[in-house]
Amino acid sequence: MKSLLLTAGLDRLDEVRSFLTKDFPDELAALTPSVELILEEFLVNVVTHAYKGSPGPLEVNIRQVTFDDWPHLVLEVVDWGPPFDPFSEATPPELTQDIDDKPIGGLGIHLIRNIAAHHSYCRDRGANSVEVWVRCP
Amino acid sequence: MKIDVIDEGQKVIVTVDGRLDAATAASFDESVQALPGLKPPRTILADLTNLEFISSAGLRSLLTLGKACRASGAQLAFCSLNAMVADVFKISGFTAIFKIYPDRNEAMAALGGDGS
Repeated sequence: MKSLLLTAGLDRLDEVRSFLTKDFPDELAALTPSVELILEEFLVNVVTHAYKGSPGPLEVNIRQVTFDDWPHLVLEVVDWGPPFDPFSEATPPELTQDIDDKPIGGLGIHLIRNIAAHHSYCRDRGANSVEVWVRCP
Repeated sequence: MKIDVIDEGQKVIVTVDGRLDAATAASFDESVQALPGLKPPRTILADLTNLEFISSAGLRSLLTLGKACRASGAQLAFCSLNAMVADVFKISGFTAIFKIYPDRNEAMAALGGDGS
């Protein structure tokens, strides 16, 4: 398990990304783009919605677990903003065939839902915690 | 992230190198606003051979560009997506709204050109 506590900000994206993936074993290398994507979507969410552009703490944890006899990588992102469940608040995007009807934005959580084997949210002791489980290759 | 523009008259080829994410999307938006292709009947082909990574922030930029092209009567197409970018396009429904080709030669042939 690896853990990082920092002040949330889009300028920290590279730092968190390299912290998470720099020691990835070879067998998990294929998961790097997915983990980076999930991390970015949540970091942007926290900066935009939880702290609305003001500085605030962010904790990122990553660990490996076995579930139903299969290895999974679990990414957890914690913030101390007002209660906010990104999975229930986000409306599913219009998957239309006409570009004029396609709304701009709202795709971040949709991407995570599709990449994740499992996702969860909980409000605990004043913090929002989201967990995303990605099935290992 | 680096963008290069090749103006071939009726077509404008845009190559995008690096990552299109929350850190780089604003600079992409700024670069493409100056594109000469946003006038009909021109076509913009975005060659994504060297695009390593895209997030929803990058999708937002591409969709904004696509809407601007549609509004001006120009056409936006993509080619040479890596596996990660192709997955993200598919999940997001971009494959249903944009023309996407396996490589630049096929794109140029389909859009009317020699790909050189």
